[in-house]
Amino acid sequence: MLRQKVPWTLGLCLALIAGLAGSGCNNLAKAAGDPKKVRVGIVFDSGGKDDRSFNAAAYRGVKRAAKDFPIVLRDAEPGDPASLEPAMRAFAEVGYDLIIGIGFAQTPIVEAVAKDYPKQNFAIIDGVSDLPNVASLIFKEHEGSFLVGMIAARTTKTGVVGFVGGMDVPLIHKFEVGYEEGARAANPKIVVIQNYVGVTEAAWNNPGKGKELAVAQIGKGADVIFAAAGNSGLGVFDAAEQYQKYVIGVDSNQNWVKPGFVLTSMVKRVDNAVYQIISDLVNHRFKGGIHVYGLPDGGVGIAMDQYNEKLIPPDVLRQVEEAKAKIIRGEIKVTNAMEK
Amino acid sequence: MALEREKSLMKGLRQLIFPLAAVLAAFVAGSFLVLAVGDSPLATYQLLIGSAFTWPDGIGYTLFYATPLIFTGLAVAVAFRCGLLNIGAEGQLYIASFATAWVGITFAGLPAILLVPLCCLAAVLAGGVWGGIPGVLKARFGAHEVITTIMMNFIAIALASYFTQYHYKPPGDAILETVPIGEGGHIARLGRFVPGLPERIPLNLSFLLALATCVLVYLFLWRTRWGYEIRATGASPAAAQYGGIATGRQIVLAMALSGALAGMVGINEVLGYRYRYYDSFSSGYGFTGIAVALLGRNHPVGVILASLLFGALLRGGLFVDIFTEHVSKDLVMVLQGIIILFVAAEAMFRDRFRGPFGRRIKGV
Amino acid sequence: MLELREITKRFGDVLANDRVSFAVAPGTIHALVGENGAGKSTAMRIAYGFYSADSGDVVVDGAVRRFASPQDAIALGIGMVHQHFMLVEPMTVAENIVLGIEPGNALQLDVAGAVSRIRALSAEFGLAIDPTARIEDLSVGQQQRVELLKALYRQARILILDEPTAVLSPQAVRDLFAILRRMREQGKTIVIVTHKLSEVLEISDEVTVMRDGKVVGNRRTAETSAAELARLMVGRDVLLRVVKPEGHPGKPVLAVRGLSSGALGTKDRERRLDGVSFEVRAGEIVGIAGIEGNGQTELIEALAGLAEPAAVTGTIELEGRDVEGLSARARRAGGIAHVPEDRHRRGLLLDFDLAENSILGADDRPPVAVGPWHLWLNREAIRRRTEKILKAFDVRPPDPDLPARSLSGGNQQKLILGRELEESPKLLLVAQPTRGVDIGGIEFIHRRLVEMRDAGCAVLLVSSELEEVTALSDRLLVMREGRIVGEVDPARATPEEIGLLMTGGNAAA
Repeated sequence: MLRQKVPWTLGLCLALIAGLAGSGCNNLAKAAGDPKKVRVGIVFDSGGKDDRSFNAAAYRGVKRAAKDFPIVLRDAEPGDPASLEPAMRAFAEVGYDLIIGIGFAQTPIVEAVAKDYPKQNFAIIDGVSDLPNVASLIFKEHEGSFLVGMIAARTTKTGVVGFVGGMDVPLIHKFEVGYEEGARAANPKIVVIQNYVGVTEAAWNNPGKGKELAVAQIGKGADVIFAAAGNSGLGVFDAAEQYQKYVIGVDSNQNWVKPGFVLTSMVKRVDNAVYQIISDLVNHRFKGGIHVYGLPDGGVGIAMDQYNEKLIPPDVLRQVEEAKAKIIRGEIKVTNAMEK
Repeated sequence: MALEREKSLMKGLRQLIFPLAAVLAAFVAGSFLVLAVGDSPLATYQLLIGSAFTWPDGIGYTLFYATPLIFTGLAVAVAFRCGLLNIGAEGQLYIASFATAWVGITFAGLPAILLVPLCCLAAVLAGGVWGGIPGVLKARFGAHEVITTIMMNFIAIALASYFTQYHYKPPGDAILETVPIGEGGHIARLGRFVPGLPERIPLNLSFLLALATCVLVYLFLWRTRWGYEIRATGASPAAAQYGGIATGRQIVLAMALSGALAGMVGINEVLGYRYRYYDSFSSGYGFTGIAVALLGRNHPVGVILASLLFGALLRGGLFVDIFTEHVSKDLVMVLQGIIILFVAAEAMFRDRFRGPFGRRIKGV
Repeated sequence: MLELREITKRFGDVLANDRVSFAVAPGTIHALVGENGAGKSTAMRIAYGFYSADSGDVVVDGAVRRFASPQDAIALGIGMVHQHFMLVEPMTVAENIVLGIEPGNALQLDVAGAVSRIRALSAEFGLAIDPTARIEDLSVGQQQRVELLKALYRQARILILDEPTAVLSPQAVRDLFAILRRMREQGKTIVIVTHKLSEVLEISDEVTVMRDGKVVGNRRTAETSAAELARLMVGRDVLLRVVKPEGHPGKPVLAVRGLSSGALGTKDRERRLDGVSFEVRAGEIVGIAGIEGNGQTELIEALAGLAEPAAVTGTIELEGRDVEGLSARARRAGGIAHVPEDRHRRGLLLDFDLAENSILGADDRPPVAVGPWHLWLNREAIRRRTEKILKAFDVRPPDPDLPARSLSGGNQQKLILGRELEESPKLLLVAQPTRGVDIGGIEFIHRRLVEMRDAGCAVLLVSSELEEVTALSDRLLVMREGRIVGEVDPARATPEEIGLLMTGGNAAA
């Protein structure tokens, strides 16, 4: 009885699996998206696309592109850093035309994968690669941070402003140094306190720690805090609301997140950069190499809208506009912390 | 003799039925989940299974993902054979991987013939010590290994992070990883020997090492006195003591061995894949190892099969996550969970259908 | 009242019940006896609706019944007390009894009502159980009475007891039998499944004997004898008396002086040793009688090297060499073998096969272990050793690949004895050698112990069966509260004399 039953059951299972495997193997490239269209894959960093900040900005950009162009768009949110590379390789393996890595941490991964798949195109945000099939999209965050630093220094009543960075890495030092220089330009006696959430990828994803640091800074007198910390920045927003202080958002326009408490946001138009690169690809104009976005092209800047127009007096805005013009003309040199 | 062999083959096949049924049932249950979120189960499973079996990438990656799971599955199985639940494979593999990288960095100049064995030794020793400590705590003070190994996990992960961040990170590097190990520490990727398998696929010699380790573990557990004494301790400590077995020593030995096996993940990770220590590289291999051992019935052959399954699920989960509209890779977690539930429930079923003469009844 | 007609039940290849028929008269105690595996339990489980028969009928009150589950049997007034109790330890007696048939409505449990009913039942049958006590605080005998109460509470008229005395001390057996007689007086019908002939003769009105799945005899208890029942059970004549030639004691092998052990973490004052001294010489069996729990277990474990070393003081000499402080392994190497009282917990690795069980205690040296550090197990040698033991000790079935769990109690015990004797020990420690062993097995084990003695081995025998220990021993020591309270000549002393020593004069206790 058993003798017949065992092979029978086993055979059924194996046949089923083989069937699925066979059909799946054959159609894998197709199952992964219509190969006749331009296919774009995007790999978010560990913050995920809903961080309302950096990743969210990138997501907005690709969504807009997906609406405007007939492309297949798929995204991956690996969640932990070790899974970034497999996700990117999956896109490459099934033949995606453009694969975008969000965040400097993916630079070596993009480089490695782009080397293995030289016929496909890649883009990396905040990172630099000199491979011909990789477009490096970088921003002059220090210049934008300079401007919000000025606003912070003009707004504070205590003479103390804070900075909460995400991961303690050179890229975020760029924000910090620009911010501090801007604040000092507006008020030479200003005190700037800075803290970082952590030293690992997890630092982007720890709102609790972000809030803790913000509360500590508030305790030391800070009444404006610039949060350049991805998801962790949301904790700073919480603290600002709770203690009735101001916070400055980052990357995306975050003015709406806690209306009345968000002084402004240092926007980094990742969305525009991403949209642009997809548009280039669709129009057969894709070029590797470095693409810099700064103040003149609106790649970085301050966010003004109905949520914060009452928070910043016109004379402050005027001063900021002047500084912006001077930076563009090269009359003010803001230190780029990554170029030392 | 031929009949004998056929009998034992049938016995082996019969062992497979329940796990297979569990896997099948999990897929059926999972398909409802897929329907509920609004995707097609057929397309989803085509992606899930198909992506795991394409040549060369699918098979290459499935085997690559299975490699660490074989090591951790064996680790959990060996401890379990001694009646111990080693939750600490995760910490053991972290500390061992770091130690492997440390040796690879510190003695970077050595030729491969020295550096590779030295690094492997570091992996085994570091894992063994890290696993042995909870063993000693259990044998000497009766501290429960579940608690101590969990705590040791935290310590291991934090320690490795700390040394990476403050002592071994390349200056200015945005990523938390150590500097690379010496060239002599690299072990070959299988792509070098297998035609059609590109070397970009990180499947490497440690996969073969994992298979060989399964054989060694089998021989150790069932053909040596130490293995016998470990298993006796696990089956009944009172009976083992009665037989003159120093159960405390077996506990320490089993835990150290378990840690060493978990530590061998470092060989795959550091010598075969990244050539450096990469912080938080393990996607819970140590914990998945528990599921692997459970599904594999704490037997090396079962561990290989279960590792292949879970390796395929890891690979397929990635594709399902990315290329379906709604289904996320959590589906794989759900599938794993259901499989484990079924397997755990099996013991109950078995007892329920056991006749009054226990297992003497052959036909049931 | 209850009748089985032509019941046949097959488990795979095993014919467990082969046209089993017998009837139980109302208001009697009916014993169902047979060796382990004779099919008694299967028959009773069919009567209880736990299994369904392949063919044949269960007749209750003259009508053929079909039971889909035990619930149906319970509804007809059949109750069963299993060998292994089905009680929830942290819950109270009353809670356990009402489990599954909770009184009151869905929201409110009417515990008070149940408690008073249980109290009344307990008084009616002399069970002396407090319904509010927690199960975990009760002795084994009391737990068994809770199981009885459970059945009575469900208004059982027919009670089936599966091996009720297997787990009980002699005192508790006496108490149980008193209760059963009282139940019979109250009109209950009782079926008791057992393999102990003395109990059958003591308690039952009628006996049905089973062997190999068949009924081989029905007798009125008053008209039969132990010898006849034993012959029916085993299928041949059985020697119920131990045949023992005169012993020739030699030099002292074991000398114990002033052996004491601490309370080992238990509050129970009796569970320890207090200055025990005695000798066992080569070629003699020294028996230790006593009520269980008076230090016998501790004594054997201390001698075998299984006690916490720090808790033991005094000297243990094996052939003049002090072995106190040596590990269990070293003592085995020195020539001490041990048949433990708890063969499931200590004596066997139940899930290991017979071959692996046959090397327990001998796995660290040739011929079993070979090569550097004696690391490798010699499979050939193990197989030879196992087959030799299985053959010499008539372990059935003699298949080295079977798990030890699948053997009957008697065969398990024979395996252990064979394994321990394989090492040709100088001293054999034997505790409760025939507990849960069928008659054929008992005879075999007793004969082997005497043979060992005659071969010059020193044997220390602990048994709570007074009959056994007096029959086998050359000298008999009596233990009470951790002390040796006397030595008697087993050939001359009466059970009353020994009982007096065991109880310390309070014979009634």
